[in-house]
Amino acid sequence: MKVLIVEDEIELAQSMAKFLGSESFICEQAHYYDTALDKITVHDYDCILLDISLPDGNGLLLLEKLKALKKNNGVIIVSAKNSIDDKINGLNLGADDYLAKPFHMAELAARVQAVVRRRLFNGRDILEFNEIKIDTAAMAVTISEKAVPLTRKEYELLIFLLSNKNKVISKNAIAEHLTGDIAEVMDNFDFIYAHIKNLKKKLADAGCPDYIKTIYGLGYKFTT
Amino acid sequence: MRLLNVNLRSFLYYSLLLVLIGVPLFFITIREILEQEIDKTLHLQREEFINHLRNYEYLEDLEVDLHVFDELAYDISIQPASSGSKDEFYETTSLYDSIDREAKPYRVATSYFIVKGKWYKLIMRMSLVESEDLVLVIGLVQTLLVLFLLGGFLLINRSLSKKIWQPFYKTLTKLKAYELNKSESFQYEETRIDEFDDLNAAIRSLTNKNMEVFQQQKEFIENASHELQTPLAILQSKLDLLMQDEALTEEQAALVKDMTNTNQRLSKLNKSLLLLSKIENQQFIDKEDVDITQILRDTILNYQELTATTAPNILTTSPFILQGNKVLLEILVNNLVLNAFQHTTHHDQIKIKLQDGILTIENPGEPFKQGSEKIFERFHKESTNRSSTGLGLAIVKKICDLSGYNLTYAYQSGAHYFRVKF
Repeated sequence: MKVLIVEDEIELAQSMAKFLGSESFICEQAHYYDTALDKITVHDYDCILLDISLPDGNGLLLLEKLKALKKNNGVIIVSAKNSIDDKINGLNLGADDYLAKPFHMAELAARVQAVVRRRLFNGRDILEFNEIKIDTAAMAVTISEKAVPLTRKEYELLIFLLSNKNKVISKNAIAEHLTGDIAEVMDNFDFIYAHIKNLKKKLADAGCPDYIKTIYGLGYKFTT
Repeated sequence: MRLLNVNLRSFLYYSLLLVLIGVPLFFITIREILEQEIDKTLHLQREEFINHLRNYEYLEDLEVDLHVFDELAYDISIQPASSGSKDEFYETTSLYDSIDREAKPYRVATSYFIVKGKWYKLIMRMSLVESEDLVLVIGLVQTLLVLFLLGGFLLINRSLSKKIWQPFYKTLTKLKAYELNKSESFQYEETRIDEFDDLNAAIRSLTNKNMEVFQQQKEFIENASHELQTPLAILQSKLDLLMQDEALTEEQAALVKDMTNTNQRLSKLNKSLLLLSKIENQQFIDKEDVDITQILRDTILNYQELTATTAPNILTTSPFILQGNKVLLEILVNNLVLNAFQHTTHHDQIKIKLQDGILTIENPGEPFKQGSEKIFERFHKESTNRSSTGLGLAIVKKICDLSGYNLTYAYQSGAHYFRVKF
């Protein structure tokens, strides 16, 4: 998979590249509007992370360019502004998702995975790992072909963990992923523990090895 | 006190003083003058009389003639006297007038003279009735004049003043109605008076300046918050990477966890500040039909999915639909409901009621230590929870203030009541 990171803050771009990068994910960076324009014209990407508040040009114009070039790249708009207008404009111009800064890397990874999956499978979005199979369209989970009923939050948690395999994810990141806006108001994340515990039990009951590990007090990791 | 009255009062006091002193003074003075005139006349009469008498001093029967004269003359009396002097005495007395049968005032001049070696007392008198009448009339006319003058001046002054000060009152009314955050320039009309024009111009430039500063301040918070987003994001990204290091010791991991939590607090605080400033800058002005009941249910459902707690008691009437901004209403309901959840251990003790356009959230608990007026202030925290920003209720209040919803809080019988009247 090829990912293009368009971000003028170099530190941030580096972090994103480092976190997302692996054998299967190659990350390129563009710190200026012109560089970004060149890259998108010449190459194709599975996902483009687009910061629209670039100092030398509006990122939304890049979106228009992409549309004009009839490229089928997945685009996630990353923005410090969190403006509803920008969100609507971006989605109208063909962006797949909108992520407001600041965000957790794990959240970013999950969103990229989702976009890539959707693009790759053209709507028939299946997430597979060993014996676990998730049909995101139907929101159904089967383990070794047997249906496993999960609550909505457990379901979202599982996908989140699978999108960040072998990565330590903080409780904060999980909490924010599961609660969205409410996370701003909630102040202790101990409820995460309950969900993790329940999920682990259900996986174990279905015969999965113990994938979900607790990492000291930091968070959790889906180990392969 | 009112402007017109200040003017008038001084003038009235002065006038009153003048009248109180002046009129009696005038009265007395006129009287004095008249009296002096009469005295002079009486004196002259005496002199003439005595002079003429000298011409008749050769008469043998002068004494008898004088006696006859005394009987006949009305205002003159000549009486023999034992002694006399050159002095002349003047006095005012009241004498009985036999003709009119009443007492009348007279000016009486008493003097002595010698004729044919004998002393005589000469009393000449003059009626003061006419002069008294004169004085009275003069006094009356003068008083009337003064009153007319006063009255006229008062009225003219009043109406003139009102006209003259009208532009001032117009300016005053406009100033009272002026609101800083309604960014309209101070309007005024030209007047014929320079000072008022100057005043208006000065007010306009002052208010314009104020608006500029106010606007800049409003934008400053928003801009500052925006700027903070990126460094916060960078920090978070580095911490997320650090977490991945498998060589971390337990102590290091604990440190990273603390850093992450702190960064989370920063982010939340910044987001809340940004939200507050956006709300204040009227960035949420779109209105649509919003179902409050639905928002309520969604919020509670959401929370329950997360924390698997007991449900609060909800009492709602049929869907309550309101014309308002959806985002703001969601935040408002969210914050209030979650505020109740966080401060109550047993969520089924929370009672939520939505009826007749009033949302009431009741949760049992200890009374607030710092008094109920402060809970809606920014950064005021009741809980010792460090990750509470203290902005949740402030945001609710700001939304209510801007949208015209009535927000009240009361503590009764061991429970907190938050009430919003839409």
